[in-house]
Amino acid sequence: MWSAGSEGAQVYLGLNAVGVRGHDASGCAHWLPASSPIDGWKQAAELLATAGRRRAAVSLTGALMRPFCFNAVPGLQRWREAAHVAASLAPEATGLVGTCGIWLGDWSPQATSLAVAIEQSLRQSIEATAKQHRIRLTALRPWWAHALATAANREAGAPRLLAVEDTDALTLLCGDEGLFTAASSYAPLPDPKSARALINRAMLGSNVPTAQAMHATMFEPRPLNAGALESTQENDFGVRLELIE
Amino acid sequence: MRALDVDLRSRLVPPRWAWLLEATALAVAIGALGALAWKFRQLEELRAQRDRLQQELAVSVETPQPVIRNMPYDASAREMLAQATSKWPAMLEALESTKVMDVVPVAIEIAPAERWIRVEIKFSEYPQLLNYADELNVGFKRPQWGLVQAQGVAAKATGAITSTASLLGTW
Repeated sequence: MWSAGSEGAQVYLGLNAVGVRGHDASGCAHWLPASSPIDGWKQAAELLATAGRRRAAVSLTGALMRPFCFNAVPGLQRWREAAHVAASLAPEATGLVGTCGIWLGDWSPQATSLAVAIEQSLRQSIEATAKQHRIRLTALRPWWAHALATAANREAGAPRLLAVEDTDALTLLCGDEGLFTAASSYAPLPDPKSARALINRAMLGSNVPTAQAMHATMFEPRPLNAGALESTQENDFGVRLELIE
Repeated sequence: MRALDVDLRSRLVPPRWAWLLEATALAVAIGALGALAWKFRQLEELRAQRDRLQQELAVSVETPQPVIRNMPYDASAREMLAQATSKWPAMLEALESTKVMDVVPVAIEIAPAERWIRVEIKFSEYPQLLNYADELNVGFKRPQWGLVQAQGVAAKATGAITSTASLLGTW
């Protein structure tokens, strides 16, 4: 479960909804409907500003922050050059539109790296809104990264395939021994049957047995349509892990 | 798989004024360090100078010897003074006033600075020579003249004076 301590308030930002936690003393997540991610973030920022919170960590769904595998490109030696190449490849690799911002992590010239892309316009809007409301962003990350951390740190060991289902997308991550061999997000969120087919296809493609494949979902997720939104203690962006049978 | 510390916040690029401020601060810091180093070096030099002076003070101080500088014409003046205060006129008067038969002064050498007169004498008999020396010392409180050297030659047959002697007068 996320800590609301050093990072300040926690914001979960999706395509049509935003969740805010840590803006008051109750510790409950407060969900708001939104017409767009930018609209959702504005509402969250106003809520935080009203509550006097000046620090916030924002987690985005897999539809807004999408991973992809960035293969080694001959001739690339510098991280900055690799980031430029990855940014140019991101729209085609992820389905995002327009210029993309890139996270490359521990990229190395000889190995395939996991890259994460976000639409640059969305990032700029989030940062501009935060600045407007005098909110300091302590993190801007995908929610599936939190699910990945939870799965990687479990006592039984990290799975070789992780299917992360958030409110907007299904994110599949495959890899072994610290390396990622496949990564992709499917948005909008497929129906359960299609999601299962995608997971099975990924397991076959990566030769992953069922004992090493896990399914991550948001803990006690609530239906995020406008009529059902409410403050709830259960839905606080936590991760629930299950083995895929 | 492993956990990833994904963070897609934009990298903060400081504005130009921040770079300028940083460069100025850096320049000031470098200047301050340079000045500090310079002052430290000066301080070290002063310390070394102080130590050197303390060491010199610890050593016994030798009294500088006065420099004796001879004034120009000092020697001539002294010579003139010596001559002015000399008794050589009295010595010459004694020579002029003393006459002994068969004793003839033939040469005189005067050294006023050294205070002596040397007289070469020809004589025929030694007693006359000694008498001549005694006559010269008459009038002086203590003997001023003395026989230095005498050389006699046997020439009585001819009666010529062939013996020579040297008398030295001092004062």
